[in-house]
Amino acid sequence: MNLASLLKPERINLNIRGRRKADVLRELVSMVKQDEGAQSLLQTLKKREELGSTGIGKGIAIPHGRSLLIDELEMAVGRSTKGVDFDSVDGKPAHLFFLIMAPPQDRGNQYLIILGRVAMVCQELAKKKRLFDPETPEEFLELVRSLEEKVR
Amino acid sequence: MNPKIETLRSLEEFDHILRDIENEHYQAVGFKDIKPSSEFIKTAEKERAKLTKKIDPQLLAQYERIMKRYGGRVVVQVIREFCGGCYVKLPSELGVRCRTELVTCPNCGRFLYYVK
Repeated sequence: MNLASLLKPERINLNIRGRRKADVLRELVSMVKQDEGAQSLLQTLKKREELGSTGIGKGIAIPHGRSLLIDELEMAVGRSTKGVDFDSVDGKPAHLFFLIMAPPQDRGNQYLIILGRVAMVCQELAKKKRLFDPETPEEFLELVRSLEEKVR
Repeated sequence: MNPKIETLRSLEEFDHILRDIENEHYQAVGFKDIKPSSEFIKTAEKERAKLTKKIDPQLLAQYERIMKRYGGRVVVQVIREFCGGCYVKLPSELGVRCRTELVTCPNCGRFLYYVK
């Protein structure tokens, strides 16, 4: 399983409008769930953020969690040019948000493996200062694909 | 939605967090404060304790029993008229009652959660 196959262009928003953490989470969740369960996913993510920020620094945040409302691994990506205060480790605003939601149990703990891979790809993105290169979701996917091959 | 089932759902999500942070893949990601001795776990356990206080001891014991038996997936969605845990067809009256009441699957004992 690779990231590029899990990501769909319609779940990549390169112009996140929210300026606060809660708004960004809401925008990300709305890409994976539109029904009544969206509120519950949002709560799950907020609870996780209360325990410690998923902002890993260098402009990247990886909000994540498990929810019984999710049947298989779901991902969404958001990017904010202005940046959002995400209580990140380095205290700097986050620009790229990778949302990962998983069911309570998954075969071979794919969720955690994917989480690790997302972190590696994101760090590579930040290192190469390519966060703002892609102009379309398709270009973003292509970039992820190429970086994923490098970190493998 | 029955508030008891919401509390059980939150409790299960905390238990998943506590389970995941012990995993080597999770620790390798580099999130701040996730080592077992850290503030993160203390806060998570404190939050979990707060939730357990809201739950009737008998119900909590039932939850812990199911968690131990299945290693997760204690609260499951009702999918059409089927239990989302063991996939057994539920009696129709249960399919209706689970929308407002706290009910369990007669086959596997899991708590049933209904979402429109």
